[in-house]
Amino acid sequence: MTPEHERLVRELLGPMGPAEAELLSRHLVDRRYPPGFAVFHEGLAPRDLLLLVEGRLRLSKLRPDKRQERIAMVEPVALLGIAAAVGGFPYPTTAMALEPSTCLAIPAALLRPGAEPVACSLALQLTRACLRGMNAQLRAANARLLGLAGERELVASLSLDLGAWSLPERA
Amino acid sequence: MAPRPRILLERLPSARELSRHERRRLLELLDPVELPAGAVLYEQGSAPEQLALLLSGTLLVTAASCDGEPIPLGRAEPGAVIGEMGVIDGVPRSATVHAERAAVLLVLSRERYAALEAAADPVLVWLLNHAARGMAERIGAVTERIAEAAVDPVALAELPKPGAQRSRGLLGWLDSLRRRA
Repeated sequence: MTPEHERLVRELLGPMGPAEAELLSRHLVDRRYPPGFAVFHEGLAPRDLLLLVEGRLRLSKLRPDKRQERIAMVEPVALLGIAAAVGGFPYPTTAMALEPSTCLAIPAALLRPGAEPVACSLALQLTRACLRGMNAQLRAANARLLGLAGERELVASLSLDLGAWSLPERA
Repeated sequence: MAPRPRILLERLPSARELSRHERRRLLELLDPVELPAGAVLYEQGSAPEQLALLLSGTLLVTAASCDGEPIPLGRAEPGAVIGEMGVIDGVPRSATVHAERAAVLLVLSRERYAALEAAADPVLVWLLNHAARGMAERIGAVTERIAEAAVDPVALAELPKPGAQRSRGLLGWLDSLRRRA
């Protein structure tokens, strides 16, 4: 991990003790993607959280008519594949590199530690970052959803933090 | 009278990940609260004093529009964690939450949250992981609906998802406005 990457990790996770930092750096893996290369594919099982530290990605989803629908553009610093890694279900979208991009892969298993205090402390920091990242994704996705429904003027007029509540869980 | 929190907690599928000892600790660390139907748990704009794990009942989440009308945003069912972002980031409540049906909850105060966080307590790790899984499911639902809406935005507003009794939310409200207009 470069010093710049280390700085970005701390920016995302907050201050970290030396033991937590050492545990994390032992598990982090750099992955580089040229433009046009898929970082992950919709429907595949996740193993890692991915921290985008360089480049730009497009998240898209296969529509019922088999075309790709853009869900979001992602720029550093951002956690990717959170919902899949946390929920343990397949990636809901495909992430494509639009320019040379680098991600740090963080094993999802670090989110589910045993009782060891350093591992628990790191898991708490990762889970908080995941919750913040997902909350931001939900806001962006909800705004996009409302835009698609042709209600942009209403979205603008509602000074709401839609957060986790704008669409309920599946029954 | 509602069943005891211990019994309700054991009924939650996700709580089976916890050992008996951890479930007992969860019940010691979180305070049980009973909400009668209609009672408010969180008020939009208020300070985030706690997060809650819903054990039974149903909570309705609403937010006020610019003209003050409450907009239904979603429903929380047993197993849901409510108010975690407020406690983590200290931001005011973004929505009002009240009991649609009488509810039993386990509540973790912000002070106790801070103490558990400082101790890197495994019970808090489970609770936040559990909250994150709930949020992950909501992301799955919203991305599905974006793909559907891209093909047919009108259908999005008018057709509930199969088997999803709670699928209307804000779009349902928007649709009702459209119908009224």
